[in-house]
Amino acid sequence: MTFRTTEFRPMQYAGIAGAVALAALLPWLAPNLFYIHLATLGCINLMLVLGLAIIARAGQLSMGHGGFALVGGYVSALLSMRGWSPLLSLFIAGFVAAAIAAALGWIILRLRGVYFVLVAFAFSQIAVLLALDMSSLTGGANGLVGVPPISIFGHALLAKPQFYPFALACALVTLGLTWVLYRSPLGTMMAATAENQRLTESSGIDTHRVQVIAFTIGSGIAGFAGALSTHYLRFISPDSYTFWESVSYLTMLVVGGRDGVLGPVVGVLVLTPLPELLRATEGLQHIIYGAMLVLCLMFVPNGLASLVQTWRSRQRVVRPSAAVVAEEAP
Amino acid sequence: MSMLEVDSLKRSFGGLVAVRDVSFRVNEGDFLGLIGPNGAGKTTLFNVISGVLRPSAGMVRFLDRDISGQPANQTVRQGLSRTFQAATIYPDATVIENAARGTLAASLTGLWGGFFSNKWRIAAEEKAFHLLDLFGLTRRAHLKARELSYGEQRRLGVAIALACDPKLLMLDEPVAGLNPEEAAELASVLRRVKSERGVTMVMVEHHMRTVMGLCNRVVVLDHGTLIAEGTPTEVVSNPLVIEAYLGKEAVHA
Repeated sequence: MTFRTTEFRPMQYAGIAGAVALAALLPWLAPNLFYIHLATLGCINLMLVLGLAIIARAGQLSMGHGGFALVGGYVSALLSMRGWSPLLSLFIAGFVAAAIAAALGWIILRLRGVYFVLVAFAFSQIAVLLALDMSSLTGGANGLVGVPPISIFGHALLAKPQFYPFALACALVTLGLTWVLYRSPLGTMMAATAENQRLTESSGIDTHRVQVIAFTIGSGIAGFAGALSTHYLRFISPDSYTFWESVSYLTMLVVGGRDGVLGPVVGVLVLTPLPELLRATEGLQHIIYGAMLVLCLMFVPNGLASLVQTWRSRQRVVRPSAAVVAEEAP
Repeated sequence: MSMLEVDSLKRSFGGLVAVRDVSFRVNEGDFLGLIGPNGAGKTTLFNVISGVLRPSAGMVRFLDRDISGQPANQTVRQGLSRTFQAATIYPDATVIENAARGTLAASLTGLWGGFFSNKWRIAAEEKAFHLLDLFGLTRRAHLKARELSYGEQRRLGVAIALACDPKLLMLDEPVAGLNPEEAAELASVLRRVKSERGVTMVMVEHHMRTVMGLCNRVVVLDHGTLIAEGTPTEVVSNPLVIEAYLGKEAVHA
């Protein structure tokens, strides 16, 4: 007898296929370009939030996530403006962000809890200050304008409907890989570390290493996503990824849910368009946004995606116990 | 053959010496009891041996290898596993997942494998299932660990520690807080584990009936110093031990 609790059901396959099809058809369904723009931002946000979720999966909270996106954006912008292919520089941006995270993580992940949060926060502030001060390279406060667009087989992704499928593909690949990671031994070790680090350590797992790897992967994804966004907007400045961006990714993760890959998707779907939808209410938008967050945290503290989990486990209550009883019967 | 050798081990916290020059050995097949009054340094000694704390001086040898100061995750992979005093489970994971997580370090895929195959998971859960069977937790396999009774949680904690196939299992007060039936149940499971799997065990315990019933040798610690060593019956009649537990007057009375 096996205990595979993560088995897929046809309903789930159908749901996933439907959602992907809907996302892919969006350029034809959207009434105007603004919706496509929002969807593109959603894809980029999803990658960033998934990166943050991977770090949180191993039990750490990164308040410097925007800093890695900023590093990735500048690396890719500077390389592509010197003639490198943006398609290549995207990946280099991811690797540079990952390398910085690996080095930083090796040192600071020995710090527990609040210290890690503070040092990661300090890193993102330093990244912003460096972007401001090294103006000969980064253009200072003006940023870099005219970043080359991504081109695939000589076809430049200039218009929004052309860029969106690329962003969607990147987001879906990230989503798929995150899902694969969560189900792997490494992902299991990450979850175990977050839940009880001392016990995981005495089960023979180097939890420090697991956390450094999670921080490296998550920050690498942030670097890639920051670069992607830079080539989409064709502009980057120190204001592109400030502390507030780090906070908003965290908010999406918390509102959506920290377990599994569904949480980030839900968080991004709800919170990316929300400020735009609330814009109609004139000056009230921040108040409403804040009130919704508070309500979410009060009534669904494990995130909106946990509602699905609750529903699913309610369905499950009868079945496995019945199966176990049957197994024990002679 | 001696499996674990503790050689003039010392650990101090600032000016406080918790373990002072302690030496003893654990032979293969032993069930060693480590007893002593509260604050005698038993848990500190445990933590130093298992790599949670570094020793201030002295040496720990396990299977003829110096393991003093090695981090816990390395000593475990060499075959020295331990449990903790407080409930040491993953409360939000299912019982079967709890046990399966214990097998990860010994799993063949390691850190970087198992991305596109479920084989490791099936193997881990199969192994975990056998453990749950041994500990009488099969019926609870799909419950969250937090939903178990305290006694079941303690048993699950020992099951997790056994999941990495240790040669030496160190138990920190395994029956503390359990009622007499639960304590007897855990004791019988430990006896079975020992006979079926040939695991050598060291146990810190206050519950004398459990110690007398399970252990073939006992070492007694008081104020960080080893004051007696021998069979359970020898040790409980040792005047030094009675003095440590009950005070001088009780001995002279």
